Amino acid sequence: MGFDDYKNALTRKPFWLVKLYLDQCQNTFGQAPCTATGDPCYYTYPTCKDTPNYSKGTYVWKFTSRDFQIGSIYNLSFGYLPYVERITYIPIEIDPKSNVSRRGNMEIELADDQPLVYAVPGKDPSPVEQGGTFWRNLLARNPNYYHRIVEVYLGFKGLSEDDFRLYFRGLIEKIEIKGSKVVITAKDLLKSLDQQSHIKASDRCKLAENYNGEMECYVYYGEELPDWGIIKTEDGKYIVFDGKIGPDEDGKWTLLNASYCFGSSGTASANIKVQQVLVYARDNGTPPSGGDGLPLDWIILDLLCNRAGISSDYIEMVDSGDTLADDISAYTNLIPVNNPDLFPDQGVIKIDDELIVYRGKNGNYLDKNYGDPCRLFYGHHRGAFGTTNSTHSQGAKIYLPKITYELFKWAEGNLYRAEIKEPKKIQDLVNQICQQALVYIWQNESSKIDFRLFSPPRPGEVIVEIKDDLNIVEGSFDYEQTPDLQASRVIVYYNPSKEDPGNSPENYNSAYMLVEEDVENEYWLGEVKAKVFYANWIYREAEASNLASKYLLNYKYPVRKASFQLELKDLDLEVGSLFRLNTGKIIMPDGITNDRILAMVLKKKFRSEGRIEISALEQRLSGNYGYIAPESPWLAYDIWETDTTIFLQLSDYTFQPEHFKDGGYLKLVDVLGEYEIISWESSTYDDINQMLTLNNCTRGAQGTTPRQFSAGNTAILLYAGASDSALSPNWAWSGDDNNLLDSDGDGIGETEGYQIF
Amino acid sequence: MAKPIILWHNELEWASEISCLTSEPDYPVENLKDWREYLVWKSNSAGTHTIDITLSTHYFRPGEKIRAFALYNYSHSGASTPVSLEVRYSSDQANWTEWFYNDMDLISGKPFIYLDPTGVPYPNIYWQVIFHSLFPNPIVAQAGLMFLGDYLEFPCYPESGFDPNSEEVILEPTRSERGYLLGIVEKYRQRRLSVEFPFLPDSWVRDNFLPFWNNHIPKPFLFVWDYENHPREIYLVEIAEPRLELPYNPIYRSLRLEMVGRKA
Repeated sequence: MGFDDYKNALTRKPFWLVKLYLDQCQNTFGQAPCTATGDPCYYTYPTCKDTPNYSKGTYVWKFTSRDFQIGSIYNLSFGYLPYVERITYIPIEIDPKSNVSRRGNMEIELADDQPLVYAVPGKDPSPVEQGGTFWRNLLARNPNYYHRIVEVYLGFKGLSEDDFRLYFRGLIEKIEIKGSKVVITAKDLLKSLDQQSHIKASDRCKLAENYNGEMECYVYYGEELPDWGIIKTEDGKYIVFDGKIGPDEDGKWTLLNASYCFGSSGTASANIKVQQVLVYARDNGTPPSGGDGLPLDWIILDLLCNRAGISSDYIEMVDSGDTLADDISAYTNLIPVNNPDLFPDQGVIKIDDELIVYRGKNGNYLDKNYGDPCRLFYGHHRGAFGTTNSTHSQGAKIYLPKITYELFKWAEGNLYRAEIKEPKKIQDLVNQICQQALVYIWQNESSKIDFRLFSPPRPGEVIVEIKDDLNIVEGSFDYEQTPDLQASRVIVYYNPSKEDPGNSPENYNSAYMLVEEDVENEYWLGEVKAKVFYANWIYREAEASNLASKYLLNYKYPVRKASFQLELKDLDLEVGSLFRLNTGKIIMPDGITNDRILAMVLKKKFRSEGRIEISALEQRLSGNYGYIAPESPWLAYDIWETDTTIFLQLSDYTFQPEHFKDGGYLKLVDVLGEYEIISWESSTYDDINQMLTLNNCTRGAQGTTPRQFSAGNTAILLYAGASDSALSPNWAWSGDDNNLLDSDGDGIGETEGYQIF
Repeated sequence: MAKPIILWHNELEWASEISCLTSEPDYPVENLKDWREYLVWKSNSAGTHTIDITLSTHYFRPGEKIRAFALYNYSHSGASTPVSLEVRYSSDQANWTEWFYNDMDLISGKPFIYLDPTGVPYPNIYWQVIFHSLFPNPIVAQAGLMFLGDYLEFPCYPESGFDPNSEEVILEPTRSERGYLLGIVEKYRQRRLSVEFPFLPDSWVRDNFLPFWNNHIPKPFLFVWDYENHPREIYLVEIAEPRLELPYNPIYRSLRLEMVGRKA
C-alpha cells in the first residue's frame, strides 16, 4: 500500500516525520586531518578545536510523532526520536486584497527529553552526555542552525520512510525552548526573497579609465559589482559585461566582454560613478520609456533564481510534451524540437538539469539569439538561472517552468518592462509584478515554487467538487461577503516616465480606467469604489486593460469568502487550487443551492491530525471563455439525409477518438454555412486510417433538419457525452456536470454547457 | 499460573561498564540501559554478538542477588528464525559460569524473560550476554531495553476481573455536514492494565512493595502477569496515577494498580 491508499482508507494512523539538517564535521576527532587533542568536540564549528581543518558536512536528525516509530520492530527500522507534538502549517496565505501572497510559517512543536547517551550519534569518539536536556544540549552545540534546511513529511503507520510524502521544505528561522517544549519556526524557500535585488555600489565604485565601447571596461572597487550584468554610469550610460577579473596592482578591475547597450554611445569619462541596474527590457530602446518588455516568466525566474539565489531545482516544471529532436552541445544556439507549437514564442525550457532562455522560434528550432538582445541574460541564455550549460541527447524530455506554461496558456504576448536602479527587497519586486500581472507565487506542498495566473480553470484541469455530504466537516462551514474587496472601477497608471516611479501618478505617462456603471449607480453601491494600480512594470495599454478588466470582472460584486474543514482524505486540495463549492449553506435568490461556486484555496492549515481547515475565496472568472481546442475533423465520405452511419476523418491535430463519447452531439456544416446537428449512440475507430465511425446516428437533432453533406465538410463537436471521462474536464470545462448542450446558444445557464470552438 | 511480578531493580542502569564490539555507531550499546524504548542498541553486522557488562560495586552490594534477566523491544534479522541466547557471569573475568543458555528461544519481535529465584550473588559483577548466531543464519540484532536485576513478586494472584490484554484506542472520527463518516484518524493506542490485590499481608507490603514504590515510582517498570504460562507478555508500563493507597481490609491490605504503557 502506498501513501494514497492509506490517506484514502477509512481508518489510518497519520504521523509526521521531521528531518533537521544540521552541520556536522566530516572528520573524526583527533584523526588526520583533525589535529585537535583532549576531550572530543561536538563536531560543530562553534565547538571545533581545530577550525582550520573543520570539514562541513550534514547530520540528519529525524523526529517522528510522539508514540510512534517508522516501520515495525521486525524490520529493524528504529532510529527516530518520537518528539513531534504538533505541526502548524501555513505555507502561504494569499491576500486577496493586494492580490499577492504572504509567506507563512511552519511551526513544529517538539517535546524535550533527557539527553542521549552520546552527544554525537554515529561519531567515535563522541562526548558522553553529562547533563542538560536533549534540546538544550543540541542548541548549545549548534547555535549556527539559522537557515539550515528542515523538512516535514507526512506518512501513516505501516509506510516505510521512502513512501512518506514531503510536505514542507524550508529554512529554520528560530528554535525556541518554551518550558518542556521546543518550537522550531521555519520559513519556506521564498524566504530568500527578503534579500536585496542587487548590490548598491558605494561612491568609490567608478570607471578607472574612459570607456568608449571597448571589450574591456576598467573600474575601481569592482567587488561591489556583480560577476556579470548591467551597470549604469552616473550620466546615464548603460554597459553590459559577462565577467570580471581583478583587482590589479592599481586596484583596477576589468569587466570582460563589455559593450554599450540600450542606445548608449560616446565616451563615459573616467572617475564617473557606476552602479549595477536591473533592466527588464530588450535592447532596442532606452529605458525607462524605451525598449520592448520581457515576458513574465523571464522576469519572475530572474528575481527568484538570479537575484534571490533560489535553486531552479525548486521551480515547478511541467512536461512540454516534446523532446529534443537532435543532440545539442553546451553551446548550441538553436534548440531543435519536434513540435514548436508546444512552446511559446519566447520563453524558458528545461532539458535535463539545464534551463535555457530562448528569445524566439525559428522553424523547428527554439532560438536563443532570436530578435533583439536581452541584456539581462547576457551570456547566460544557456545555463540560465544558476544552472550549467551542457550537452543533451536527442530524445531528452523538454520541460517548461510552470510560470512559462501558465503564460503560454493564458497570457502569451504580454510583456512587462522596468528598470530597477536602487536596490529593493526582492519580495517587494515580486509583489509588484504579481499584482500587476495578476499572478500568484507560492511554495506548494511538493516544496516546489508554484505559479498560477489569475484565470479560470485551465482546459484539462480537474476541478474537484467540495460537497456537504462527502467533504465538508459537520458544523465547520462559515462564509462572509467581502465588500472591502469590491471595486466599481479600476485605474491603472502605467508607462512610467522614470525609473522607480513609485505611487505618484505624475511619474506615469498613461492611465487606463475601467468603470462598471451598473455597480456605481444608486441601485447597487451608490458610490465609487476605486482600485488603483501604480503599474511600474506595465508600459502598454494591452496589459493595462487586461489587468483592469480581469480585476473588475472578479471584484465588481462582493465575493464570498468561505472557511470550512475537510477530513484528511481531502488533503490534496492545495493552496492555489480551484474547486467547486456545493453546499446548502449558500443559496441563490430562489432558495436553491448554488452548486456552481468556483473558489480558490487561500489558506490551509491542520486543525488536528485528521482535519484540515481551508479558507477560500470565490472566483468569478468562470464565464464563457474562448479556448482553442483541437481542430475539428471532417466528413470522410458524402452522406445522405437518411444515413445513420457517419465516417469522420481524424488527424493528429483534430479531436481524438476518446473525445467522442457515446451519446454525444456534433454539428455538420457545409460550405454555405448550412448545418445539421447529429447525435450518435456508439463509435468505432480505425487507427491505421484514423477513421472514426459514428454508429446509429440520430439525424436532425435539436430541431435541425437532415441534410446532405459532402466529404470534407466540417464536423464541429458540441457535446462529448455524459460519461465521467467525457470531454468535460478536457475541453468543455465551463460546462455543468452533465456537460449538457447549450441549447439556446447564449453560453450561460446552470444546466447548459458551452460549445467547443 | 504464576503470580505477577515487577522487574524494577535494574543493576544494568548503574553498571560501571557496558560494551559490545559489534555495535552500530548510531545505536550504542548504552541505549540498552536507557528506559526509553525508542533508543535501541543495534549490531553493526550479522554474526554472533557479545555484550560485556561490569556491574557497579557501589550499587551491587553483598546480600543483593541478580535474579532476573529480560530483553524488551527485541528483534533480529531473519525474523522467522529463533536465536539462542546465553548469559554468563564471573567474579574475575577468567572463570565464567553459565547462568542460562536458551537454545533457539529468542524470537524476533517478542520480549524475553529469564527468572532465577535463587539468584547470583555479589561479587559476580562481570556478565556476558551472547546472541548466538548459528550458521547459516547470522543475525543483526537489536534491542530497546535490557534488564539485569531483581524482581518483586506479589504474594497472591490478581483479583478476578483482571484483563491482561486491556487497551484503549484514541480515535478522531469525522463526519460530514450530512452525517456521513468521512474518515477516522487513530491518534494512539495504549495498554491500560488495572490489577487489584485485595489480600496483601502487611509485612509483605512494608518489606517488599513500599521499597519498590518509594525507590522507583514514577519511573516505568516491566510488569509480567504470568511468567509461567505467558512469558512473552511482558509490558513496559508506568503507574497511571501515582497515588499510594493501601487500605486495611481489615487484616490484609488491598492494592489497586492502574498501569499504562505504549501499545505498538
